[in-house]
Amino acid sequence: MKKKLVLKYNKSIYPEHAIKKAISDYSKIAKLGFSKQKNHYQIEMSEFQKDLGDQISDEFSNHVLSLIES
Amino acid sequence: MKNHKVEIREKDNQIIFSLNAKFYSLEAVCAAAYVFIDRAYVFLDGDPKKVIEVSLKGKAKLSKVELEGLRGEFLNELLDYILRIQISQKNQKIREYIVASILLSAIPQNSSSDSCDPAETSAWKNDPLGIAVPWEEKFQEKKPKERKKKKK
Repeated sequence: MKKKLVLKYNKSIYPEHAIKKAISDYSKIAKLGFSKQKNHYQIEMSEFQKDLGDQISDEFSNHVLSLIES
Repeated sequence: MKNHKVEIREKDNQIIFSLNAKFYSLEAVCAAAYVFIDRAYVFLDGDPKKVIEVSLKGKAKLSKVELEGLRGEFLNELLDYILRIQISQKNQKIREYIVASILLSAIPQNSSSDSCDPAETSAWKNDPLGIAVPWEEKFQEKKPKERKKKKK
């Protein structure tokens, strides 16, 4: 069974443009789905290298954070 | 001063703590978090109007004490950014004034400064060095001669 990660980003902290840019940047590494919930943005991450494990989600979060600043 | 909660998850190499948003603005928290992204995985949550939750997960394996230290460094960095933001806000008008005065000083005040010295203009029109002659005019006539030479 393929691994799937679900990440949630608080709408009042993470701007949408930063998340969408990060999704675009990671599109070659993993398959990413984006949806808007009431209080958060939800990212579904799948089809990434197994050896990357949870590290990919942590790196993704850092990348989003770096895009808030820029 | 109370920081609401601190939770250390040694197995996950992670420390989670919350910050009172009255003292720590989201802008300052984001700026401080950015400083730590090379050493830790940073995740923010909570309500930026009430309590901001910060999660720091070490990239390298860290002990409980080191995780506490990481939090301490984060708080120091946060304080640094709060001060920077405050100074920036206080000095905003004077900065704008300085930039405006610099830009204004760059605009030429006297239009006569643009005019050239008539002696220089006449020297240019004489063109003693042959610089003003276009490249095509200068070398176009030579080409047929060169061809003729080659044919010989």
